[in-house]
Amino acid sequence: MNLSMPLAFFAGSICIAGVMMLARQRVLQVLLFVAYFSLLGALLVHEYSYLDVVEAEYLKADPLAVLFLGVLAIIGALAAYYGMAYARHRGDSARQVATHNAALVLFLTMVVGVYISRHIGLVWAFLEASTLTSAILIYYNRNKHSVEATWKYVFVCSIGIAIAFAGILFLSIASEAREVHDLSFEAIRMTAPSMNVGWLKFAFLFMVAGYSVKMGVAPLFNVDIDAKDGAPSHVSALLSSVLMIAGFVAIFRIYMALAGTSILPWMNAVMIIVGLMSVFFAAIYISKIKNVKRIFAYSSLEHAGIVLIAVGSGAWFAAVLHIVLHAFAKSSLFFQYAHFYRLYQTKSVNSVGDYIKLHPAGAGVLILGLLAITAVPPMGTFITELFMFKALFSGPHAWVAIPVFLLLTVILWGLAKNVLNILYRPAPSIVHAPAPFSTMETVPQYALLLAVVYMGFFAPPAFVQFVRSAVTIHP
Amino acid sequence: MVTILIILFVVTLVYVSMVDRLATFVTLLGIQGVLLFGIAYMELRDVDALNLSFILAETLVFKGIVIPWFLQRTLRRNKLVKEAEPTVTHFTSLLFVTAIILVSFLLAYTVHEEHLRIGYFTASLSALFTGLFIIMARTKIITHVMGYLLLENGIFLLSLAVGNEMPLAVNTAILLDLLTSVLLLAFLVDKVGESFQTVDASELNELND
Repeated sequence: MNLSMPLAFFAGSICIAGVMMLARQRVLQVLLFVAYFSLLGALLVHEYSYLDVVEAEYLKADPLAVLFLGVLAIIGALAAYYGMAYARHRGDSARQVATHNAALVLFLTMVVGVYISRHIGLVWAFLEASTLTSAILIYYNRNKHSVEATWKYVFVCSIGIAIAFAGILFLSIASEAREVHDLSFEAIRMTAPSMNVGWLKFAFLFMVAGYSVKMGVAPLFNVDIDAKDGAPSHVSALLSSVLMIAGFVAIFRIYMALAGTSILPWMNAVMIIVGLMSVFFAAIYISKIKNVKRIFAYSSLEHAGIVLIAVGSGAWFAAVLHIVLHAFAKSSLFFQYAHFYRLYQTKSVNSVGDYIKLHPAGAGVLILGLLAITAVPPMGTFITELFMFKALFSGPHAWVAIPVFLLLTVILWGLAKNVLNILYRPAPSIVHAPAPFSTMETVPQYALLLAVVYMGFFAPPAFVQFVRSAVTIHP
Repeated sequence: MVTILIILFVVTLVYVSMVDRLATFVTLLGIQGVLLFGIAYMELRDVDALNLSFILAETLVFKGIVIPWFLQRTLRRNKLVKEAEPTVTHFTSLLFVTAIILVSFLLAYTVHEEHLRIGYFTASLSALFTGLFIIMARTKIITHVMGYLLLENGIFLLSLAVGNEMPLAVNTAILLDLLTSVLLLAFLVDKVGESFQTVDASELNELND
């Protein structure tokens, strides 16, 4: 196979997106999606067989990238499927749908770029491009909510990403002083131990603060919540999964590149503080708000925080596995939310109920999804959180485990109370004529949740080995 | 000569803190673009032609002409003339920006990295923080976009000060992103104006907990 496969992928994706804008018939859109995801599958196979090979100078897929590419392919394809269902159900115009589909293809492509870049500037550029393309996705409904969400999201992301760029420049100040002109992650890893510690700390702090908006953690998490609230639910699923992972990749790669330096304990403390703040805000809001979509969004904030705490406590394996499991669980819930909204026409927990009678198949997804995001066995998230606590207790920040545990209990209570209300409370208002839900539509949601169980408890050794190699520092 | 341009750049920052008319603000951004062009040109005469023409396009064409023109158009379309009720008075703004410049200078002086010149570093940090200050102190979202552009200019200067050239491919990607984001933001200002009948950031509160 040719080594410039990634370039072919980027070129092919842009062509597909372009054709999508022109060929607006539904059949053609579906065919183009099939073409796109076949291309993505080919890229995945290619990168798996050429692990750690540098391509086109600035691209390289390590096991981490390949793992996340797999997640992106699955959730991306499902989002495309649910997006088409969403548009068909609402009877949106062909033009609106075509624009959305093209943006979806470009968005996924830009995120792929984030995963496989080995140059710190290129990661930045792809991440910013993902903001711009996701803006079109969030803007889809063209109403007040979506305009506000899009404006806030694009603006704060731009500020955040500018701050991150300042971080990159601080890093290059440190590397220039050592006469190093290469800002690939490998070069940074090699030379960082001899760089000025002050600049490295500045650089890391600015990058974490800036990229926090993309990963959806403190301090800049507010606009993420608004974006997930204002966007169509399949887009919220993408923001909570592949985009959160993209932000994580940007932070984790620089963390790994600097992990060989003397600032590692300091970086760990930063990760834990950021993670703790995120879990804290999530707990506060989840226990008081009534908007189902925002509740799910705050739960994403909580899990992103847990991932960073795991990174900071040294449980890198748990961090990576947790973000994957969360991506599956949360996107399943957001996909199900489309049914919820179609049935009740409201986001508020207060005016709904009896979901278990009105839509039993969907209620099953809600129950399993609740177990997954509250880390109850047999869900795999239980295992990863267990690993995180274990690492916390054996590390220098053992005290953090206590507030985290208390906050998780608050979140468990808040989530369970709301979901149980949706399921069992008698519906107070007259329910809109329940559209006949196709059970087929819930099958992928169950599959995602079963994957959460499978990957946590029954993961084949080869998979575990692969994830381990994703968090090993390569020479 | 470069020093003069940098000083002029800092002067525009002081001026920005006092302007009332939004159109003047945009003109100042255009002037900053031209000044950055001058600085980059003097600084980078010995880099290869491709990179040089690239940076010149970024400063003179985009920062100096395209973006100001686009912003003026947005102002006209939304009938925006002045920053209506600045929450912070001009005098306080002036004090703040002066303080920012002073602190940036002291910071640059203390850092004292040998290959990092103090003038550049001061000007870039000042622009960065002035941008953030404008975003926090003003209420109109179009002014927020302008604050963002100030911040961008600061970062551009910082990258000149650092002197580490990104590979051309990366530079192209960065430039494309920046340009698109500004155009997108200006487009969204229009849309917010249509949907909300106002462009005050405080009125954007449809989404809340």
